[in-house]
Amino acid sequence: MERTRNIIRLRRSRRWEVVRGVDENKLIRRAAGGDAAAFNELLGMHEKRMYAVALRMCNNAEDAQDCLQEAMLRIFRSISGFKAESSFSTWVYRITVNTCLDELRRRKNRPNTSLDGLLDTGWSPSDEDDTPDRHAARRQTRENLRRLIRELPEDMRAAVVLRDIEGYSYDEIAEILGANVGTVKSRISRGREKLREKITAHAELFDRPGV
Amino acid sequence: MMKEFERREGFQMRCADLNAWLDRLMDGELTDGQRRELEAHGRECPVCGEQIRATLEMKALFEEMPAEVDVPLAAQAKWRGAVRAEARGRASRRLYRRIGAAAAAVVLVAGIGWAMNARDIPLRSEKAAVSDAAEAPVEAAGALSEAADVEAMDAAPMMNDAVYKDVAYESEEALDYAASDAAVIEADGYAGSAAESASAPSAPMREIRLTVEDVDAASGVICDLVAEYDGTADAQRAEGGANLYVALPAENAADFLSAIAHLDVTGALSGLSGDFGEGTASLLLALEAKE
Repeated sequence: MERTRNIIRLRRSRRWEVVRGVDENKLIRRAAGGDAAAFNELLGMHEKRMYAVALRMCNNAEDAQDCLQEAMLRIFRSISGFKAESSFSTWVYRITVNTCLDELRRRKNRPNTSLDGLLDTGWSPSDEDDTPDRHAARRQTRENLRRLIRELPEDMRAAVVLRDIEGYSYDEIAEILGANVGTVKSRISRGREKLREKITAHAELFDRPGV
Repeated sequence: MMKEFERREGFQMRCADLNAWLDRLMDGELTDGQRRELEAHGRECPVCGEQIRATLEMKALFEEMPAEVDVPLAAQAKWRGAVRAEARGRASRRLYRRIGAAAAAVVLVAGIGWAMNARDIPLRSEKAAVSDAAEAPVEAAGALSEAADVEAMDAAPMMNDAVYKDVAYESEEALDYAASDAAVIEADGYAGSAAESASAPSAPMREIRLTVEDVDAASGVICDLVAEYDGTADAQRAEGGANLYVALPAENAADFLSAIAHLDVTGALSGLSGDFGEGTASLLLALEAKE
């Protein structure tokens, strides 16, 4: 058996503090001073939700991971200017959504070649009667809906994702998107209407409940 | 927006109001009675019925989509590494600027000394000599500063103009930390194991097995964490996995294990504790890929 030996020596002169239990404001102050370890700990608390937003906004998992990294760098670069007047998490998701929108605009003319990378990794069957076939069918149906979401105009897409998947209130979405509440409600309503039209037009892809 | 009278039970909805009703359905704001009203209308009106069924399916699917999704380990390691690189870039730029300022001060002192001696030089006035001396360090400092900026930009290629202005290191402590933050990696050459490079171990090596999703990604995360906890790591590839020989201060060992516990898919590492004594704790982390 061939073995490769890599010697990795890592040194640090400053002791890592156990940040578990340290309040958010303290981590923010340390991160604002350039402390990467504090920043990584702080944003580690938000990365799953940031990634979920990016996955629904982007065309595939690879793009979503690129957006996640870019959003993290943007946050690190601007955290020293964060004002505690607004919620830190709202500020974080605002930068995440804006990063995704920028990326979508930048890649607008590029063909979408990798839809397969989008995996619904966080879902598990909650129904005891769920069977593997049923599970697979529902997963495919969710994927169909995700494709329809990705066809929405970007502003509607962001608003619908934040409301109907991430569960933010209209006020929070208005703050994240930097729009007024009336505009947000309108975008969400029109986005849902467009999705309904698409679902109706592709009825064979959805197993709709009876009324 | 639904009008007040429409919220009353028994209200007969009209087709024209469907969108408003469906938004309230999506937002979970319909009472049971209103929902029954909506469904009754859907049974009578096929056009609205189709829209209502599509909305119910959409709502059910949205509810199955998680608000949080686990980030793949490789992606976690990637963004954390990018942030550390950015922090190092800032520290380097700050350091170069300080060196530039120090060099400028040296040049200034030398220039003043030269100017004092220049009194004896014929055909030049004392005032002109002092003026020349004062300009020389400014030029030298400018050149040094420019060179430093170029190097710093090389070190942080992702930095943009806005960030360039945002130099956050204001304390010596932050500078020292960031400057020493650099990881020294020596690949393909044996330079002494982690255990050898650390001070004499005070306890025997403890072997801990981890089952991980991605051995390479997990190794990267662990090496990063070893650094966070003031330790050293010696990574050795093994069949179907990797062995990481870790030496770190004993007082940090329990916290370190707690920090890496989430990598173990079996969950066996959670709650693992023990007395690591004093001095240096030696650990052998045997990583194997999940079947």
